[in-house]
Amino acid sequence: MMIDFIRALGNPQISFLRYAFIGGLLASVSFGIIGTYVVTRRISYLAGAISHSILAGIGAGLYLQSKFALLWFTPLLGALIAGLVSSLIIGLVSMYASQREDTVIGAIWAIGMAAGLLLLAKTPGYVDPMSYLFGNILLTTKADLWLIAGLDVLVVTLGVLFYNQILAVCFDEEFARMRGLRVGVYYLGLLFLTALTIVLLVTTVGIVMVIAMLTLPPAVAGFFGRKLWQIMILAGLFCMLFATLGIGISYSYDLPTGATIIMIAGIVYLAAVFLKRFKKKSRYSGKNQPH
Amino acid sequence: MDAVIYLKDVSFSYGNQVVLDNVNLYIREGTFFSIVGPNGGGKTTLVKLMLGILKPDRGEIRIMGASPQASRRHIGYVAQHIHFDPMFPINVMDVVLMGRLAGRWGGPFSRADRREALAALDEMGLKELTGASFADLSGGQRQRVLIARALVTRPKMLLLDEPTANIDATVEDRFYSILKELNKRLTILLVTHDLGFVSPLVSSVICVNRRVRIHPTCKITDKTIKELYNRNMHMVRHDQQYKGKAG
Repeated sequence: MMIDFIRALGNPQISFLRYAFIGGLLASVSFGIIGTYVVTRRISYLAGAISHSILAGIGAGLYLQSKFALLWFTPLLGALIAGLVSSLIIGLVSMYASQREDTVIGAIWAIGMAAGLLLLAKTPGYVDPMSYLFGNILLTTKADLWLIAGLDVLVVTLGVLFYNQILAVCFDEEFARMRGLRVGVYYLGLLFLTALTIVLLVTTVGIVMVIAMLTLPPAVAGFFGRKLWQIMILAGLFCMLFATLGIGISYSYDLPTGATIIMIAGIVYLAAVFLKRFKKKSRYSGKNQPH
Repeated sequence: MDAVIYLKDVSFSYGNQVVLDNVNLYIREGTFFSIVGPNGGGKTTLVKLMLGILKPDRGEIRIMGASPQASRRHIGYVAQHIHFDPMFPINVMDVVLMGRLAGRWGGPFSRADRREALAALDEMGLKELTGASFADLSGGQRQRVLIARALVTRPKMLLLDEPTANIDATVEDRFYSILKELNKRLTILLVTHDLGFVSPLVSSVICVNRRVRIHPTCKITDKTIKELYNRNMHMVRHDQQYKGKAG
């Protein structure tokens, strides 16, 4: 069955499969790095709001394209704008609003989706919201691959250059601020990169499930890595593994790709949690308790 | 002017609640002093004013002859709580290296940075734990790691907020002998609600309860404590040993 998949990857007739596959591998690099920050900084909820608000941008793109023939305003461009705007609002709210921050974030989450659905409904011709909510590998194009590769370069460059700063900001924000680091700039930058990363895999995995691709690989990697950079690399590799298996299995058994990828990631995560528990028990049973 | 800390007629209130009222303070370089007082008495507010995190309603604050914001980088501040995630993947060395971040644009730490971090860990008696996970340490070890991190910022003054809150009594002695050693080259300010065990070490005690009074350690009596805490408390002297036998 995997042989069929590998053969299909080389088939020029079904280039969409190849694009989705390469796109998944490329995006895994950014997902590993940004996902690790999202998990250690505990901002999965913010990332969820950003990803859902992207539907507004996708809707706006489709609507403007077909209603006003603004062909340059692609759904991807709309998604990027929506992602950046919502991450800016969310970032400012969580930095400066002293309370009820979760209310504002929840509102952006829901309003973004509502705006997107309204725009999709008013777009001439039939647009299936399912494709954007749950992903559709047919949507990945060759141009997307270049965009994903470009984002990888950006994320890796910033991630390596400012590794120590971001580590400090994530670990102990108060200390970082006292030492004169511009904590707010790093925080907003991190949210912007999160938004960009989410946008790039939204077509494959879908708005609803993309957040799992951001959080599950680093969560699994966290069981093996002891340093932040180790977890980033491992998370990227796990992300590649999940994407490859997910696309392969979904192709072979005619299953929805996004759901298959997330299911595999979820199963591996749960297995890792159970293994860890089991190992911990056997480790402490024979020896002295620490301290 | 050799005053490390200079406060003149400083007042601060949260809304209508006056927390600090007309505070005057003059502290010389190289002293070891302690800020004590009841919870809610204004200790933390005083610290935040010194660090420039809060601005006074009235009065003037000079730290090392400059504004608190400008002098902040010369203060090695060790907070009472660090809000850290126990799952955060980081080892002791990386925590200490954070102290070398200021003034750097980006990129990795130099070999000199690492040497300095290692020296600070050694001074804190933690050389063997360099590669250990921060989350696996005991409360006292963590506290010493955070002091090492403060030391590599090359401070002129060390400001410790309730450093003994997470430390058990057996480690405390060792902790204070470390501080005594550090006091040879640094001014040390120690915030605590526990007056008893600081007294053998510190040269003066600043009592904060809305108003601020400075006492030389030896003159602390029941009366001072009553005045400070507004109620009778037992004073336990730790520098005397009980020699008789029970029964």
